[in-house]
Amino acid sequence: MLRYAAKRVVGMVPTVLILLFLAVIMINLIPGDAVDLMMEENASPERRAALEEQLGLGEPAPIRYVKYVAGMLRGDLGDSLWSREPVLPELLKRVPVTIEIALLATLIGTAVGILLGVISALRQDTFIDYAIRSVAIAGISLPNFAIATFVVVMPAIWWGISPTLRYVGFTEDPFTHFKIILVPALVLSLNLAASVMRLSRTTMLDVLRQDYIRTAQAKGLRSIQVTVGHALKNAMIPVITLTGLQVAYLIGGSVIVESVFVIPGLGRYLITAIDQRDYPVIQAIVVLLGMFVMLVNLLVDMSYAWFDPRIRMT
Amino acid sequence: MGEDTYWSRVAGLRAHRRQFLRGAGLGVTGLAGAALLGCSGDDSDSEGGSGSTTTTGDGGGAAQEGAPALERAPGFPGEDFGKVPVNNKPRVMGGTLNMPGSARALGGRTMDPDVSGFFAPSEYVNDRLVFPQGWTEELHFDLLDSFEWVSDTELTLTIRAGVKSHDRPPTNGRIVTAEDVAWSINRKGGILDPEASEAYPRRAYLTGLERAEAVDDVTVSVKLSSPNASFLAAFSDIRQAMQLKELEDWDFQDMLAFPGFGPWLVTEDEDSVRAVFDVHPDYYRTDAEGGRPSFDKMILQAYPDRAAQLAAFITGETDHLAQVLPHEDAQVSASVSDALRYQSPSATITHVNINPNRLAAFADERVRKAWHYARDFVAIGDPISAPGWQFSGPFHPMHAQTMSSDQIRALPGYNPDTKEQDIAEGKKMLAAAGFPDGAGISFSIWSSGATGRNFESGERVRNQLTTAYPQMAVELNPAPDIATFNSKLNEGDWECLAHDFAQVPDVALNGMTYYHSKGGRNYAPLQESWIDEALEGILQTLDEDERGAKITQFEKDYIDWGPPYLNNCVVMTDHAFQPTIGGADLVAGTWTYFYTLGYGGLQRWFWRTE
Repeated sequence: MLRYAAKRVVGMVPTVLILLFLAVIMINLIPGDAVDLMMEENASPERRAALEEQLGLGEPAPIRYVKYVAGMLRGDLGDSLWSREPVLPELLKRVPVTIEIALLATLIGTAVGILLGVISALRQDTFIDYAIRSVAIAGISLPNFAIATFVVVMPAIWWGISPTLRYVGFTEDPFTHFKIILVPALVLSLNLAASVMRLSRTTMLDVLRQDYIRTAQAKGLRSIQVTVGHALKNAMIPVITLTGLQVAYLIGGSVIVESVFVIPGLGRYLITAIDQRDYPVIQAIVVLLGMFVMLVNLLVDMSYAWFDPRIRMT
Repeated sequence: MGEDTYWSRVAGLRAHRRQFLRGAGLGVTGLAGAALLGCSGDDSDSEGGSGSTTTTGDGGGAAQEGAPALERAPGFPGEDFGKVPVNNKPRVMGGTLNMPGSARALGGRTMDPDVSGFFAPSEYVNDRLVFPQGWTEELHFDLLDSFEWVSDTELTLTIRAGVKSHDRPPTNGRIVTAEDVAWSINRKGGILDPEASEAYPRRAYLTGLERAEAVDDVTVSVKLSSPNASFLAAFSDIRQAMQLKELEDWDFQDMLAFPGFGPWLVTEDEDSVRAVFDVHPDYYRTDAEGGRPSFDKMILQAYPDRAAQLAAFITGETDHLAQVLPHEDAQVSASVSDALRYQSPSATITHVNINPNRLAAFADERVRKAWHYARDFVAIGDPISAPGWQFSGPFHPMHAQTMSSDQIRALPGYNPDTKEQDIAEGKKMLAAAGFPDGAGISFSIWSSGATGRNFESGERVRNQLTTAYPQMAVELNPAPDIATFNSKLNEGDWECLAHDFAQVPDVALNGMTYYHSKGGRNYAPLQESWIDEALEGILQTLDEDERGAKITQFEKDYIDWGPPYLNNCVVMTDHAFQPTIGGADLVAGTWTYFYTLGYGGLQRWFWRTE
């Protein structure tokens, strides 16, 4: 198992380098740069050239890529073009915020999705089943930003209340902190819950038709014992895969949710950096997110062995 | 200075009186541009020291309990002033004012107040020399105490004595001196570092500036190379606050170290999210003269989108909702039925401009006129504005000496009643020029934004042109964000531009900025010697009547020439305030930049009521 994990980690390096290269190319293809924003509508060629030089944007993108990789290997993720401060400390401040919301969304989404999926499977073709499936379709179809905007605006119109759009850190006030992150986490979890629900239902139905389940029922075990003790674990392997893949989606979804709810996480930092053409920040976040997604996938793969001892990591 | 010149009118004398008419398109007649307060202007004849504090009996100032009673525009609060409710509930001192803002105001752009074209927290923490009355452009004193034109090209400014800066580093409560003002004027004029002068977009306002020098602690001597009738008005632009010399050492990042002397000081700053301001306890303005903050604190909070701003206003989290759009009106009225709604003409003009340097066809006057004649201004103005928007010629119709909205409306090309005939005429002109129905003319409209007023205007202009001249190929190409927009703008890489431009309270300055070949907002640029000469003539003409005649002549000539830069309309902005906010009526109006309260300088006039 350890050898397998080590091989996977080593394999991440070329992937990260390619990812970074693509990111550098793509962001340089976007029209406009930080100089255009700093100079607003008054950029003469001379002033432009001087500021580009000052910001290190005078060199071609491939040269900047090579320099950035060299810096990255030393642990230097560059300085923000706007604040001129190192990017790494700012990233480290924001990563926990995003992870917290993503984890909370994952927990809520997975728990709710599995619960509803199991209920729907056990109540197949009843009104409950149809109702849950309809809600799931809606949860998959509605985009995050629409739900988030709805959550902000409609309670204000109907009841005169609205989620607080000002972040409070956990150490400042834990209770308020939790209240503030709960709403964006719920919004983010909806899509995951819907997908997990549908997959859980399908896999549960499949497992419930197996002979060993019929045997367990024939032995006189209670329904809950059969469901939880025998069926659920076997039905969860595909769900784990989905959840792992969805983590990447959640991180991406956090961009929208953090922007709408003004959460100072990685997603908002990324969107601001793109708006501001802050290349070092964009590059650093892309690298970080890429590594994070790869690590999550590794953990998902390794968890299969726990769920199914027949699977061995080689 | 024995002659009766632009500068010699004393306070209170006005050659004309503006009359505001209701309906789609307000008509105005000129009010004297010489509403400046005298040749040797001294505003100290009222109680309470400098500043206009006379209380008039009729249409007089705010009569609320405990609030300053201040002079108003003549005729106020009559129905001709748009919609300006007066909150008469008793004033409650203190508390926090919660204002919505945009992320762009609070980060991701240069925070140099003399360089930036957009507002920033730095603009809340210092004051101008003068500020304009919202309806009349009449200038009132802020930091300035008096002025004297020694000759046509030499001006003496006297600032208020004893103005204290903020009592924290780097200024530590020191007294603001004439040296600060002289340095600030020179900086804005781009003459401190001539090689970097292009960085200062409003240097064109100070055309002719040679040097400002401090004579003593309160006196500044300003020398010009040529007369500039708009020189003082240049300092009434909301972005022309005086800066302190400590700005030289500021890092343009740390708002808490921004050197200031004005009504607010930044005490918290979260980039692109939020800024908190405390009131400056030693602020120089008295309560009696108005413009001294009644709140203890102000919070400027960025909301991620319009929906969040709307929700914040409905729940009472913010005290203000800027520019209520026509489709939001019903919701705001239903959810906050007692909100105070203010409607006044904006200082911003939306426009769709052609770049004749990129499109050879538009060198032909007939093509430019056809371009003008196809535009249906009503179809553009109605959907993007509250009722009462105004037609605009080359200059804003709310200036003292420009053609009124009604006068513009009556002209060919603008008149909605003759639009069909105008289009028919346009077709003939195009055919005569060799472009029948627009065949052979093809361009792309670059709009500053993929949504919003400018995008919509661009879309409508495209549709109008292709409907009127079916062979003309016009595309709409919206900029996805500001960086992309600025990139093409700065490179001159655009054929047609749908954008807008915030006007300053002076005709000549707007003309110089927008149409003069060296103007900072002449983006094509237009390079017409007759335009340059005409505008320079207006700028240098000190006689009021002569200046007015030149302005009118330029407007007619420009329209007749076939305007490549073609203004759409002046929208009627519609602001909503919570019912517990008073004082907004004092600063409503076009020239106070009331149209966007993101610009600093107005919040100091507001207060909380019971």
